[in-house]
Amino acid sequence: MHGSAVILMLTAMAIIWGGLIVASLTLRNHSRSEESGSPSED
Amino acid sequence: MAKTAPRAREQWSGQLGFLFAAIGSAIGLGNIWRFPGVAYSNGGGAFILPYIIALLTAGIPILLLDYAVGHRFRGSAPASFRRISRKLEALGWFQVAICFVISTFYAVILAWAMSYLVFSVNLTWGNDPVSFFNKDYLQLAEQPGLNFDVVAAVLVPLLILWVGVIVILALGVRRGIELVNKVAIPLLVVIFVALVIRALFLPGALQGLDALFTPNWEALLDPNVWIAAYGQIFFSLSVAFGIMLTYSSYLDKKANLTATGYVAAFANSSFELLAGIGVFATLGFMAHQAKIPVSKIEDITGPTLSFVTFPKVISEMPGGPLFGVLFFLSLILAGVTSLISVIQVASAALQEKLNLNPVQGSLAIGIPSALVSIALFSTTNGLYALDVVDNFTNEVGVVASALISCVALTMMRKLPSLQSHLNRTSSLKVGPVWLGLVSVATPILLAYMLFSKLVSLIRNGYETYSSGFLMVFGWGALVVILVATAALTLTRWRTPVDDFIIDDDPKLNLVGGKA
Repeated sequence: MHGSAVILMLTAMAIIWGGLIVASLTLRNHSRSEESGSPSED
Repeated sequence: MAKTAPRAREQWSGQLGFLFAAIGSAIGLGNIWRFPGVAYSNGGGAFILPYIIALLTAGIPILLLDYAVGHRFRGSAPASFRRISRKLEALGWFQVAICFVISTFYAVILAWAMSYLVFSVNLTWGNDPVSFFNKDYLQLAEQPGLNFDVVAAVLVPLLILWVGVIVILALGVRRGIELVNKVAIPLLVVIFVALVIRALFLPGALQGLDALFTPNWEALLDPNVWIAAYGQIFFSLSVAFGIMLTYSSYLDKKANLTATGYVAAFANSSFELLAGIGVFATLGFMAHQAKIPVSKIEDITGPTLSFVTFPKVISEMPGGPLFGVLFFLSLILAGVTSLISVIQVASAALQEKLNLNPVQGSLAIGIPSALVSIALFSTTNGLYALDVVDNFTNEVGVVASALISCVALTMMRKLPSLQSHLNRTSSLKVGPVWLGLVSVATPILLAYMLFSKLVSLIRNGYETYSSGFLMVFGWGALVVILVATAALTLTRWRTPVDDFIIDDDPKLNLVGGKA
């Protein structure tokens, strides 16, 4: 593979899959803080 | 007939259930057979730049808009839009009608995939997958036209599929849709990762990846490349035709909307990228076997990629039958979870309008959808009809729906309240940038996409189809959508749709005379 193709493939993976990981962690941390914080209205 | 009290609204078991369903809806056939070809044809590796910009500036903002409307007004698309303004109810029915039409042809593609899953076991297509697909399997008519010659080989899997989909919807949101997605999506990811790993170890795989990711930076100067990126994101995410709106209406009131939206959007793109790697690694193997460059391979997008090009590769590959079974199984899993979401938009709307339970709702929409899909798309004319209806419904209908949503909500000054709603329980806040994107930037882009598409269709038609054929299946489909929209809007509600109170801001709660 050409160097530029490798770099772009890795960049795309880092941004998109990294974005998924960051968003998932954000959601998980928020859910945990909600659970440990106020009791559910339901 | 007196309006009766509304049934208790169904809910997901939690955010995870919703997330699986939202991802299941977004990940569909287009992720597997559209993205790789679009990226390759629009700058290769350089396409990643407009793609990510489109994701952040249009895909996610519109996705969050859908979430906000459904979650705040807690109804199907027509009910939610009516609760914003009675004038907007028609927009909801427009989205329902689009979903109905999409379901009729989308199901047929899944029926093909079901057949091909079986064909993969002994490579039934033989040495000539093109001829097998067109002549032996579809019994494709010589010329596009109007006929009702149903093909039994398509009809049987189609009937099985429709029965399955109706049963899933009848089981309801939690026991049906959520359960299926919780099983199907992890299974899909595992199977697809296995396929990609296998493909990466094929001879020539790196040649394929080189073709996909080698950048053509000059392509970024071409506006059509940017339009292609926005189009890919837009169609891939299942936004603006009621799906995400309907699904978010089943979410708990305290759900973290924006973080959930980001996860769904990035999961969709992650799968798309994975599909690009898998498809081009496989095409690299095909080019290697034929001793040609990847650029010489034809049919790298759409149904022909899956039902012609891939069978060719599968026949040449060591362990081809297993690869084929897993590939078509992944198509079915990705497609079924999307099909369910499309039908649920219509089922939920009919349930609310006519006071039906989930069983009645699934039958009320599932049976007509099944009959239309059999009559129009399981025939010897099916491939032609499907191609035209798909193009007109998506690139005109869905884009128009998105444009009207953005413009109407902006002009009615509803965006600030929707922004507040998103921010109320979400960990990631949306600010003025989101407002600007949804009210100005995205509508301008959508208007350009819609206008240029309409001009192109009027001037040049679509592909090589005759004007008469386009009139029936293209413009005709749009007319059917509009007539259905009008008829359903005028039908009387049998539930007290207007007795709805938003508990957070009394100034915004005056809907239908009851506050």
